[in-house]
Amino acid sequence: MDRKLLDILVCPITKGTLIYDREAQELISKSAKLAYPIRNGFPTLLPNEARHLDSSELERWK
Amino acid sequence: MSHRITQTEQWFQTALGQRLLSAEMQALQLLLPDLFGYHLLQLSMIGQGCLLETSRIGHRFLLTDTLIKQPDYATVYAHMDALPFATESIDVVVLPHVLEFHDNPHAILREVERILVPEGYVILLGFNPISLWGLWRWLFVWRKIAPWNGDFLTALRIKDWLSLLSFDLVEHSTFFFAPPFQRNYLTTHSVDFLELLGSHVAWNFGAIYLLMAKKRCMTLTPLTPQWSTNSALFSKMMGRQVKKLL
Repeated sequence: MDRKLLDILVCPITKGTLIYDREAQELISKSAKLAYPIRNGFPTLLPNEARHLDSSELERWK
Repeated sequence: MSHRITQTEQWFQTALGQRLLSAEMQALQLLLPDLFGYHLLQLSMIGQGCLLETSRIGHRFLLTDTLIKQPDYATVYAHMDALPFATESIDVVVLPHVLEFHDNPHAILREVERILVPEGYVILLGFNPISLWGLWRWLFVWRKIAPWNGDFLTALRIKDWLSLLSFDLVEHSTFFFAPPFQRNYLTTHSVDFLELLGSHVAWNFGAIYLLMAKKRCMTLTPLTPQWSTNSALFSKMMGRQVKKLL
């Protein structure tokens, strides 16, 4: 994942900050409760491709 | 999102598309090397990054909303009217034929304005409706094939939108005066001659227009109060009054 790109990426819906989950290769948006996948190193910030986060997962990122 | 942009991206791989692309690369070659910054973004996959080759900016990437198996260039997947970049973070944004193939072009421009840094640049390339290609479009519009299925927007209209978003127009030019035939009937010399003739005679009616605009930002100047007490004089007068009293 491109470090320079990671610095400027935000959630496309809420424009809030994203957390990089290195293990799962996902970008977590706490404000939108979504996890955006990173496919072959390319961030996929499409809401219809994102995974919904439940409350237990959200607490993990607090 | 509309699949018209995807169709246009494929059309740019045809013989005519490639000729047009090389003309656009030449036009950008005159502008891009003079623009500096940290991040350069192109909306859409047109040219697969070859349009940005002449730029000196190190970090360049493309944005598309169609998933591709193995892109050759650094790519971000997102919707063009909801850009996933922080406010005032990108230095230059290139939009090649994006607005005419999108359902909501004004929303894209608003988002571009948001992500650009103050004094950042936007470069727009578009099909000119007031040209031979614009006339050609009316013959093929019913077939709904790229690029004739786009809503060719006039440069005047885009300029109006840009001024509404507080952009300063820096550059406006048109080029590509050759007819829109897939087979190249013209030799290199005659194409060069057409370009030369077109740029002198029909300078505003080329098939492609290029607009470059700069994001203008108003800075606030704090107003200081006009009145000011001359403290030295004031204390002198006060001193005299006190002496009189004593």
